[in-house]
Amino acid sequence: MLKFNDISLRNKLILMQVFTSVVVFGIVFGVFIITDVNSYKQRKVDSMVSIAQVLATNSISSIQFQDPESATEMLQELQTVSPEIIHSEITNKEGQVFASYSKPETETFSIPQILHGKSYSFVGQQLFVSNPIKSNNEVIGRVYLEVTLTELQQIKQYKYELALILLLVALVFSFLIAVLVQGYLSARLLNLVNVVRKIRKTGEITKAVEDKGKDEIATLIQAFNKLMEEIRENQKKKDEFIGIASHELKTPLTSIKGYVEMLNMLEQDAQKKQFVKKALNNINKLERLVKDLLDVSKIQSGQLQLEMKEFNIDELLNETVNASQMVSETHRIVKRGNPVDEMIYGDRQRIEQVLLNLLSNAIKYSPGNPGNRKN
Amino acid sequence: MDLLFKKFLLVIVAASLAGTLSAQNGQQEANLKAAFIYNFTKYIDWGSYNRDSLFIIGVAGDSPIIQSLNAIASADRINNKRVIVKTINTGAEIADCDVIFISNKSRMSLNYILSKTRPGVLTISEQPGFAEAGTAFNFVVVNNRLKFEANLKALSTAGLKAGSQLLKLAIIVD
Repeated sequence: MLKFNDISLRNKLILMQVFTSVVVFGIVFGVFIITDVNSYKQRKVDSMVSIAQVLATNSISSIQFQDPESATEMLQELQTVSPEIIHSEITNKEGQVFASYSKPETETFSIPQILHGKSYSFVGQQLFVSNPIKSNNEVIGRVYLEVTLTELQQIKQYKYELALILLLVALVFSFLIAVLVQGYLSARLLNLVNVVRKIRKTGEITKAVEDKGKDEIATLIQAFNKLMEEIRENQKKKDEFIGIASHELKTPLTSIKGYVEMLNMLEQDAQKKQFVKKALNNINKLERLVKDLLDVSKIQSGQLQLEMKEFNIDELLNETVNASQMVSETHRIVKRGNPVDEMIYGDRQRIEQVLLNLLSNAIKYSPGNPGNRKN
Repeated sequence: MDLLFKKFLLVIVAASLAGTLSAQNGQQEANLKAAFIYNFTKYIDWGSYNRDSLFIIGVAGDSPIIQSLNAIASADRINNKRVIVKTINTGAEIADCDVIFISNKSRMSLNYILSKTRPGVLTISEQPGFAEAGTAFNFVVVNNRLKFEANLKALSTAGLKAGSQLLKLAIIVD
């Protein structure tokens, strides 16, 4: 399952905005539908109560003069005016049915029982209404109406469909707006992220990240820029230090080497000559180290120049293997494979350096005696 | 409400429940007619007539309806007036009345009564053809139910106005 934290910032912002608008619109539409349905019901109740009142007024004389036919006629006429009234009934003072009319093929209920003395009641798709028939402030009967609310179902469905369509439109719009607006927030962060990625990949510290805002993202970018600036300064100082140190080391070392070489040539005493040789060996090692340091500083400052030319690879291999073999007394270097006898284009000195380093490391970090392979 | 009147209404309801007039005896029919007469007065506008403090119902002939009307008169008022029920035997007695009920036991002829009736008096009868002859309302029995005929010309001649709610139930005659 996708976790919220795994989603990118950009999509999070879009998701949040879309979700918020859907929730808000959902609530608003819900309230509107409920209000609408309720107001429709109230209107229906009002209109049916007034019809019941008119019926009550018009049926006073019918009850007074014991004329159910006229009342029934009136109820029948009512059906043509308001077809939604499926059952109407006039009862006398004692609650007995005085006149009634039902639409054919409709289920009718005992309305007085449903109403329990209330003036109206909704039961499922039916509305039941009752109104007293009064003459001289005396109740002489009641009018009951049963109204079917098929229209309500249609209205409800229509409203639901409309709300759904509007919700979808809102969804699309909020998505589009979110896509546009999130760019303002996320673009700056994403820019920073891209710079960090680039630095991690290349190790190269580029120019400062530009930003014009004054919010938290701006603070973050400023802090990042300051950090990068400090790192760059430190690196520069380190490079300078290496360059200076190696250079300053090289000069006295060359002088020492010259004198020790001279000493080596002049010394006749075997024991003394051995000491001088050892000193010379260590001077050579030190010289190589200084040279390596110089190379490093050259590489870092970009001053290293390659001397490109064509040379024979087999010659180079033989030379390096022999040179390494001469230095090592504990290891035997075995060269395998057939000579390729080809000229290659490159810096001969640097490739030789690489091979020598590889061999010297191999000798240094492997146990004595067994042969080391070099293809 | 007066107990008697309640009782009276109960009788009416009982009569209507019975449904048919054939099943009723004379007194029950009289009660029903009396109730009708009382209800008529609710729908009739006497206009400038009937200014007295009393509402007088005259009954021509010795009919059981007198008893029924007296029951109503003792319980209720008409047009907010005390109701007096009296039997009329002579033309002179007709003059004071607001309503005249010409029972089928009347010894005076219809024409005589009508000739003595001044405007502002509601005439009610209970014999076939009387409405056509000139009474405002006439009780008839149709399908075993008590109905009434109304003569609009007679009503307007008497200077009275009947409510539409009443007339819609009436059988209109000329």
